[in-house]
Amino acid sequence: MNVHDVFREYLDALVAGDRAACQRIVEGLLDAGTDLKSIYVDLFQGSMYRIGELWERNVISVAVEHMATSITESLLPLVYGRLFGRPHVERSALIACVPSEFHQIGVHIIADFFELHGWHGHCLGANTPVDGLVAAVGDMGPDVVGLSASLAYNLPVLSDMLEAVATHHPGTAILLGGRALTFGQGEFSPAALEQRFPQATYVASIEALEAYIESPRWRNGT
Amino acid sequence: MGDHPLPGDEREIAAAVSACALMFDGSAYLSHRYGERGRQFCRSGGGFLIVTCRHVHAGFLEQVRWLVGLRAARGMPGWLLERHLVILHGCLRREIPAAGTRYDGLLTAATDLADRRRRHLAEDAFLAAASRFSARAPDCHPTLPEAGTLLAAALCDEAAGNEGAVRSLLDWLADPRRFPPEWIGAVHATAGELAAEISHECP
Repeated sequence: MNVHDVFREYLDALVAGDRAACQRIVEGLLDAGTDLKSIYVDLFQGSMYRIGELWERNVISVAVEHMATSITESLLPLVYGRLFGRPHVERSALIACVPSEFHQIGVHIIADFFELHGWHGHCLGANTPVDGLVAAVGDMGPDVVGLSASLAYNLPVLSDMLEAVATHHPGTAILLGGRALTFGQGEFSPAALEQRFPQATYVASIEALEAYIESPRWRNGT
Repeated sequence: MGDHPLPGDEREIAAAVSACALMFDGSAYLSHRYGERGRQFCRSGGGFLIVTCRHVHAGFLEQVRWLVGLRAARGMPGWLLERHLVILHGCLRREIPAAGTRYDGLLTAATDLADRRRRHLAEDAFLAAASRFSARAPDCHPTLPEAGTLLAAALCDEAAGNEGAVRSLLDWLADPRRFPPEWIGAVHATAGELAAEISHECP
């Protein structure tokens, strides 16, 4: 049993708002020992991308989209039993959406991916105030701060938040991610932001994130 | 009315509001179909266009193209956004004469949409669509003069890959609870005629 086998059934249940059916499918995958990465990427992320497409095409309403989001968020903890039982290293990441960004499933998944790789992944969720993030970084002292923006008009806010974190915590590594950056041009392009803030790294995909986590910088503890 | 940052400049907000009024005052379709809630969305949509144009630069075009698909599937052909962009640019120039080229991305995007539309239907045929429809339905709803143009625009959107553009327009424009049979007949006949002229090639 793998995600491909159940994807259609899961998506139909998601659109129908059948949380119990979705839960049964996820539990079935977990019982079958399905790779957690596949559950995150192929099932959770894949189905939400599909939900987004259906909403864009007006096949489902915004209410159904929100319901699917809510169901997905409620299912993420099903994985935690296997996620948090893994051996951990003394590394931590603090992940947040920029102000006025409410698409938060992605940051939850990113935080969980750090857990998957043995880090402590902390997620501050949607619409994180700049001051609050700066304070949280000071309090928690993460090795990495991750900033996410999904919508292109949030790029200026992302830049402001990046500047605030870089100014107050110049020694902290910063990750940038989210769909908005694929639209970033000029001063808001990933390359321009990385150049302006040398401690920042743009990760365009889950694969890039995993390569970053597994890079010698973090493996060797330098 | 949407969930995105508003422009911070009061003159930009005034321009967004003026442009929306011009859009709705100039389109019986928008007024009849979408009403006051549509006006509110149009205002915040104008704010979105201004903020995104000002901050996202080249990526703005991608955002506008994405928006065409989103709106076309909800009964608003890309041609309406094309007009909105031009009107919004004009309103911004009036409110902020010293803006220079700051908002020219709006015009660039409007030109891009028009170019993409013309890939599927020649401009003269597009412009003639309104009178073509009126000729078929001379006594019906004279307050909806853009019906033929909307049909042509939706067909272009559909040909460009925006699934549901025609259906979502016809849901309202050919609704028997709203329009008499002769009107609906004219809608389908004009749509069929125009569809035969639509190119599905993407150069």
